[in-house]
Parts: sequence; C-alpha cells; structure tokens
Amino acid sequence: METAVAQSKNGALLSVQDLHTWFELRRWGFGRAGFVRAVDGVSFDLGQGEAVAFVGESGCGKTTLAKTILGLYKPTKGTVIFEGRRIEDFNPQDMQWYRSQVGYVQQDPYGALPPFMNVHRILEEPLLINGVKDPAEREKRIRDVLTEVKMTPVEDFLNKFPHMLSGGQQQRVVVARAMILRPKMIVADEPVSMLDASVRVEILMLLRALQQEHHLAVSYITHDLSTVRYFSERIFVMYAAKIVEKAPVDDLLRHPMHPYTQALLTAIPDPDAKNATTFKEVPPGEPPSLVNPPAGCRFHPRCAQMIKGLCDTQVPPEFEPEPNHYTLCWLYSPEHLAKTKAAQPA
Amino acid sequence: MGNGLLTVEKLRLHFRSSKGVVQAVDDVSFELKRNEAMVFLGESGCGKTSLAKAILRMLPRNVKEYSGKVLLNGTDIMQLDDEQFRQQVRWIKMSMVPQAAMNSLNPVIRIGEQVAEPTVAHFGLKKEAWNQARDVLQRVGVPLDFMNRYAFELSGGMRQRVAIAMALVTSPDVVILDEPTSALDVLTQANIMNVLKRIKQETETSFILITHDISTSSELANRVAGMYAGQIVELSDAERFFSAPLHPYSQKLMASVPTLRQTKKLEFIPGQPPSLINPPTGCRFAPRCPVKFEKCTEEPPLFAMHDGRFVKCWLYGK
Amino acid sequence: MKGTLNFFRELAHYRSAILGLLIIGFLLAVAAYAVITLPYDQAIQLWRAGEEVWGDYPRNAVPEWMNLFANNTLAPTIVIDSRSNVNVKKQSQQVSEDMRTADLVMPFEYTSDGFPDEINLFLSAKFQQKKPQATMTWKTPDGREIRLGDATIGTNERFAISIDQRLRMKLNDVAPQIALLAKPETLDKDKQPEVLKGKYELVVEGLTFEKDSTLDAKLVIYGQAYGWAGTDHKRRDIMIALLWGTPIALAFGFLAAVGSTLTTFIIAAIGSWFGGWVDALIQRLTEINSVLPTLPILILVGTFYTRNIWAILGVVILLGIFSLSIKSYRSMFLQVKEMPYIEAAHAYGASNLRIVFQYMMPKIAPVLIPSFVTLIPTFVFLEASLAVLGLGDPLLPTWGKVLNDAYVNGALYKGYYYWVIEPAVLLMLAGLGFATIGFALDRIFNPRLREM
Repeated sequence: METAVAQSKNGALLSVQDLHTWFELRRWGFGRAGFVRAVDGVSFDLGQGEAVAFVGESGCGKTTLAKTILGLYKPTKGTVIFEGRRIEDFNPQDMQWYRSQVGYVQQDPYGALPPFMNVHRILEEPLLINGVKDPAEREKRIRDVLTEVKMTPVEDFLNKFPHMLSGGQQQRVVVARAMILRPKMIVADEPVSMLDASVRVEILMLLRALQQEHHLAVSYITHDLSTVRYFSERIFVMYAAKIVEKAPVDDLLRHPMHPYTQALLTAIPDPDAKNATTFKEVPPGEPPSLVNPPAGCRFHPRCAQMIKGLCDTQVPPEFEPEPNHYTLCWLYSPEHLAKTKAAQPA
Repeated sequence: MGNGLLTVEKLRLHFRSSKGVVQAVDDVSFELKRNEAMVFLGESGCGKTSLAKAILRMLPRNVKEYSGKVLLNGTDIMQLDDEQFRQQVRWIKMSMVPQAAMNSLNPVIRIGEQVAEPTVAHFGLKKEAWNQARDVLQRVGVPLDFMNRYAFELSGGMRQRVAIAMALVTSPDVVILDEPTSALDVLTQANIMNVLKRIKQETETSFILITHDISTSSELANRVAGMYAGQIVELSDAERFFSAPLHPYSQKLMASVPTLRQTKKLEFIPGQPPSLINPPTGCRFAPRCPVKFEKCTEEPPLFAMHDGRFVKCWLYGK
Repeated sequence: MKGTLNFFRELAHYRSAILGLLIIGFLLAVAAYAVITLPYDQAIQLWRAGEEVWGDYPRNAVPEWMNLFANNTLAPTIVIDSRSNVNVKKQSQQVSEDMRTADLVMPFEYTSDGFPDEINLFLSAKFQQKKPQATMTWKTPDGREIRLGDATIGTNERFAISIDQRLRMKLNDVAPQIALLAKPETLDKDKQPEVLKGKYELVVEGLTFEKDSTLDAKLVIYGQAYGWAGTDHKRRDIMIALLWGTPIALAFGFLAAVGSTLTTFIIAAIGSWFGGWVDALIQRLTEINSVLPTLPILILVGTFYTRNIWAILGVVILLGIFSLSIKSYRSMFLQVKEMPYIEAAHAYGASNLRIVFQYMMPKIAPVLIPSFVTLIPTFVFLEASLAVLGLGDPLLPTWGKVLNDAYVNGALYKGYYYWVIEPAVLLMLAGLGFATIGFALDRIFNPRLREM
C-alpha cells in the first residue's frame, strides 16, 4: 500500500501506470494462438475535477482501457491507482466502494438500460446494491438525480420503460444512473455517438455541467475530435493500443505533433461548402492488427515522415518537447529536434 | 420545375403500421441536375431513407400510399410497371449504396464476381462485366488482387469501397448513397469521401447523399435539402446552407454542429422530432421552434426565394 | 393489473389463442368441478370399490348421448327397489302364528327398442334363523306369466336372471333378458327378436317364517347406456375418472413443466454467466442426460420402485433438469451476457447472483413462457403413456388409466369405442388448448425479443 501511494504522482485521483490489457486468443479451445494487445503500455494521471478525452479510431483500445479502469477487465500488466490505492489489491468490499466511486456512461443508451425495468427501478438498483437501506432516502436521491439530468417533471418519467423514451432521454437516464452514487469519476464511452446531432450537444452540455458542478473527473472516450474541445481540458490520442499524444486541448489542436494526430485533424471536416472542391491528404492503409502490431512505432507503415532504421525498429518513448505536451514519436526526440533546428537556418 | 436529370414532384410514401399511418415521405419535390450532388440532411426518423427507397421503388409490403411524379430524363418512371422499372431503371439509370452496405456483401462470392453481378444480371455479359468490375474497383481504390478475395477478408473501409463499386459498375446517371460513411473511422471516412469526389469529377454521375452527418456531407454537397418529419423544409445551395441557413430548423441544426477549427457556442434543439404517425398540424417544426408565431398553425408552403433557395417557413412568406 | 389486462387483449388478437383459452378454461372448470363436488378421498374410494357400490350400474354401457347416433333408443337402466319405490305394492297376510306371506308386485314400463344386457334381482331378507322363501313370476304386458324360479332368501341374495341356466332352458335356450322382453312371435331362430313395449310386472311371492322377518327385492334391468361417459368393465362410471383425471393431468403437466423449465432456465443462466468449469460441467451433464432414455427409466422406476404419481413427477422433473433446452437457453444467455446493461450493472457493483436472477433471466423470460406452455401437454401425454403402459398410479383415476383399462379389456375389439375416445379426446383437447395458446404467446413474445 505504501509503495502504491508513493507511485501516485501529484495527488492525482486516478493514476494509470504502464497498463497492459491483453486478451488470449484460443485455438480450438486448447493452447493459444497469441494475444490481442488491446491496451499495450498506457500511462497517464487524471486529476480530481479534470475532464480528459481519449480520442482514437475503433479498435484502438480505448474502450478496453475504459473497462480496465472500471475494473471490468483485469489488467495483464501495470496498475490502476485510485486515490493512492491500487485497484488490483482491493478486496471485495473495497471493490464495491470503488465501483460506487466511478460512474459509467455507455455508448448505446437503449442497450445500456435493462428493457424490463422502469426508470425508477433502474435508478434504484445501484442504491440497493450499494446499501442505501432507507426507502425515503432512495426515493429522494432518485428524484434529485432525475432533476439534475433535467428529466422534469420527475413523475412523468419514473414509471416509463426505456423503449418509451427518446434516445436523448435514455441517455439522460444512463447519466443519472452513473451519477446517483455520487461518484468522483465518470467514464463516458462514446456517450453521444449514437444520438442525433441536435441531441448530442444537449447531452455533452449536461455532462459538462455535471462535471463542473460536482467537480468530477471525467474520462470521455470518443472518436470524434470535433466534440472534444467543448468538453475537456486535455486530449489523449490513442493509436493501436497506445497513447501517442497527450496535451491540453488548445495545444493539441493548434500544434498537433504526432503524424497520426495531424492526419486526424486534417481528416475531420467542418461544415463548409469549400470541402467539396478540395481533396484531403490522408494517410493510406488501415490501423494495424493488435495481435501482431508492427515493430517500432506502430504508425510507421502509414507515416509519411517515417525515419528508416529508427521508426520501423525501435519503439518510441514518451517525449515532452513542450511543457505538458507529450508524444510517442521519434520526430520529437531531442536528437532529431536538434538536427532539424540545425537544418532550418541553413 | 426545370428540366433537370431527375425531377421529383409531390412524392409521397405512407406506410401502414400497427399504430397508424406512418407519413414517412410527404409531398417531397426537388430537382437534381447532371453531375450534381444533393445532400438530404436530417435526424434519424425524418424519412430520408424512405425517400431513397421511394425514388428507387424499393418498397416494403405495408405501403399505404405511394404517389407523385419521378421524372428521369423527362420520362415519368412512376408510370413503369415493376418489371419495366427493374429492367430499365433500377441499377441501370439509378443505383444505391444502402445503409451499412459494407456488412451486406455476400460472404460466399468473391469480390470481383460480386461487383460484376449487376452487369451480368442486366446484360448477361460475363467477360465484359468482369472487365468493368476491374475498372470500377480500380477507380474506388480497391487493389486488383482483392477481386479474388471474400468480403470477410477485407477491412470495413475496403468493403464500403466494394459496395460503392457495385453501385457504380453499370455507370448509372444517379447514385443514391445512404449514410455511406457513418460506421467508418475518421481517416477511412476521409478516404471514401475523396473517392466519391474523384468519381464526381471524372464522370457525369449525379449523387443523392442521405446523411445526418453535416460535416462529412459538406465534402460532396452542391446542394442541400434539409428534411424534417418527412418533408423538405429547406432547399438551398450548399454554401449558403452551411453558412447562413434560412429555416429555423436548419439554423438550429447548424448551430449544434461542433467545429474543430473555430470555437462557437453550441446550441441544441429542445424536445424531440415528432412522430411520423401523428405529425403536428401546421408547421411540423413549430412545437420546437424558437420563433414561431400565430401563422405557424397553418402548414407553410415551400416558398421560393429570389436567390433560388426554397424554404418552408412562414417567416419568409409574403 | 393493467398489464395483465393488456396482455390478454393482445392475446385475443389471435383467434387460435381464443380457442385455446376456451379449451383450457373448460378443462380448468372441469377440474374445479371435480375437486369441489367429489372430494379426493371419496373419488379414490369410489374408483376402487366393487360390486357393493357399482352393483346397480350396467357393465360396459355406452354413454347416453350415443342415442343421438343410434337408430333405436338405447335401453336405460331400470332399478326398482321395494324399499324406496312407491309403485311397488307390498302385500302381507298372516298365515299362521309365525308364518306370513310377503308379496311384492314390482311394475315397470319398458319402452326402449333394445334389449338390456343383463337383469339381476337382488333379494334381501331379515330373519333370525329361518330364511324366508320366495317365488318369482314375470308378467308381460300381453298377459303371459313366466315363472322365474323359487329361492330361499338369505340376507343378501342375487338372482342373476340373465345367466340363469335353468331359466334359459325353460325359455327354449334363448337368453332370458331377451326372451322375457321380446314379442313371442319374434323369438324364432331366423327372426330378429323385437321388444314388446309396455307395462311389465315382477311378482315376488314370499313366505316368512319368523315374527319380524321381512323380505325386500330390487330388480335391476341393466341398460345399454349410462350417464355422460358410460361405464367400464367393472360397472364403474367412467365420468369419475374423466372428471378427476382433469385436475391430475393439469397438475402433473403444470408442475412437471414448471419444475423442469425453471430449473433448466436457472441452470442455463448460471452456467452461461459463470462460464469456465461450471459451464463445462453443465454442458457435459446435459449431453449425458440427453442420451438417457426417459421412458425406459420411468418404466424401471414404475416397475421396481413406485408407481405413485408424485414420485413419478419427481423423476420426470429430475430427468428434465438437464434437458437439451439448456443449450438453447444458454445461447440466448450468452448473448444477453454481452449486453451493455449487464456490463453497467457489473460496473455499479451488482453481485453475480443478482445479475443472473435480476438482469439476465427477466430478459429471456418472455421466450420461456410460450415454450413452457407448449411443454405442459408433453407431460400430460407422458403421464398418460405411463398409465397406458400399466404404470399409472395405483390409486388415482386418470385418463391414462381409463385408456389402459380399455386396452387391457379389448375395448376396440369389442366395439366399446367410447371407452377409448373419451379420455383420448380430453388428452387431445389439453394438447390443442396449450399448443394454440403457446403458438400465440410465441408470436407475441418473440418479435418483442428481437426488437430488444
């Protein structure tokens, strides 16, 4: 326990250190054909009240990372430290407590709600499970949380079943359920990707308001970079099971370092009729398989600025070329930066 | 209406359902010119996919009403019987990339044969069909050695390209794309949009793009039709639709799009889209409209603006 | 409450379900009627009783409704008892100090077209030592008098008129029950005997030899038709078995279906949630159980251990626990297990058992209901099959046992079709009723499942 406390830097609420979550691929039920390295060496800290966005394409491991943080998957290697305590050391009581401290908002609001329970029951479940014995107290908290997610008048919704609600309302119930245990942290996995444009903003604004009011830490997992700036302080860009770039939102949008981040930013259009007349410079190819990822930097087969003999052989470490702006790319090694600097004036 | 490639007048498609009549497409009129891309923008359940099906006459069994005019090169294809329609129009003059097309490829047929299939089915030319399939696959950026592979061996982006190739192989005049990039990753999306743009530049093909993704639609759009509750509420050129839309719904919708390159205050539309079974009388957007007034209890016509735009809102009535 | 109402309204959309509901409602009404009007003990006693209870009933009589199909009216049973029938004239005269005459004139109207199968006269006397004596005479409507015979009467005597050999010889070797009731001119060998309809009388001229000695007689002319259901070879009213067979069949089917479905369902849920060796064990047990032959095992149990219906029920449920439906439930549960709401429940700390019982099972329960309903008749039939094979409960009257009796006594061979048809129709009704409801339920619940 002592060491765990020592490892957690600057009093972060959540500290993830060298986390690996691998899934075994079985062959015919016996023996193994290898591993899917869904999360492969991820480290970061998340402060109390901080909203961080994990951005990446499907299959980059962001959902696995979220579920590992939630304790739904056991990490293969590395640790998750919450308030200075390693979650893998938790006994069942600690785990129960931890689960009440971390709320979970899923992608598909309809799938996330048990179809045979009404809103009241859905919200009562976490309270029952976490030992809120007084019915009046439960009732009060259900009403409070529904008011907080702006599902008013509360009476109109308590007896509704999920299929009677619109997508936006369903997602509010999901948010309410994540909030009802008064957590310190929310993990939101693509919370708006299945909603319509007009509703998306509503839910994001709601999450933002709740985050600020309750001083929550939020891990916002998304593939959609354009929503991130409205929602979080920092962005972590994930590619092929690793975080390739970490930076405050404005830094990252203004000065993306990793070639993958740059490609992402180029690829995302803003609504503008001029788009129709220009072609986009997008790297070819597809993200690599997580069973046999490429050696060296995982982006190197698609990277235009690949350095032969370095990027394709050696895994880049985390560089910090600017304060608080980290990237996993050899282009930002001190040596390479010095070289380009020397080349520039000439 | 003028003499465009495809003219749709008062197209109406209503379904029967256990709860009542679904007015999925209600008096939709528009005109598509040659080599033009028209985007139908709207939230889920606004009837945009039903519109595509109505144009291509791919109807479910529970149709209540199917009426209106669809003129293709001046002939009213609504007058054709089903067999004529199949032989003369569907996939010959107009084809479609359906929603989630990449997941509906036949898993037991090789890619090459699959792309050649529409040509073989319509013209019975095996050899020529194969050559055409090769050309079109090349155009959408599928490597040639993929022709002998099966769908499951391809990534999502590649499969979507194959689906687009299938729609293009008969060189139709109009290709309808239903959410062509919605399930794809950002980089793949950009790649697919590049492919579509190139095809639009290189050929005379016209596109109807059906989507809820406003940002991505701007990559192809010449004109935009805003759809709400089964009706077109605004018909405009892309530039003005994206920068200064007229209809309050379009305005709100544009204000809800998060942008990467500039910061703006995001807005949302309170309430939910109406049910297509009992849409509100009068203007269907009125219950959610921030600027509604007495007049909105009557249904507004599609007003023609002097700059060529159309808008279904009393604010623009004379 | 409102939900239940809506459910029935939805069910009523299907005409087949209405039919099913009517049939099941009818069977339930029959079951309730049986249980209320004829208590369990009494039913069992009646079914196990012999001639002392069933003596007045005809043997193998067809149900009365067979008259609808017969050309001639079938003879009903006629019972004339001197103790209760007011038409019976009793005459008694003092002959000497202890000796008295005791004459009984028992009139009856015979109007049926058919002849009875059997005629019995039951005589009973009260006496200390000396038994009374009696002479029986048969008077026909056309005034003939046929002497049936004399007898010394004990406390309980049976004079089996129809099989009395001496009487038969006297009647020119024609069966007495025909000869006594036929028009004499039709009794020739090459003619079909015809009934002489009219007023008959049986006269018992008795002589008692003690002071308080009395004589009573009961004439039973056994008809060809009896009651709603007819009678069997032991003169028992089959209606008792048909009535009581209903609650037994329904209870057996229902309990067996509930027992096996619920346990199967729970086991499948637990196996698919926990996975690993638990799941593997359940799978192997299911596979082993699926090659075990149910019927032979039940026959073994019935032959060597017990034929008690509730013990058999237990064995049926035991054999049903690891039934193959575990596999199909498991495949559904494996899908449910991956649903986001289960993951959410896990994330807010729901325990394993809570997830299994409160989150997984309610999701699949709708599929369970139709398959459960269609399973009920399977078990009803199983119970009947066992009874037909002679392994029915020794005490209880059941549909299957009626079939077994019919089978053992060659009912079809002898033309007692009603004996087989009645329980068979009830079995088929039960099957049809549950099946039609089950199909409708399937259509109601399964699209909803797909939609979820």
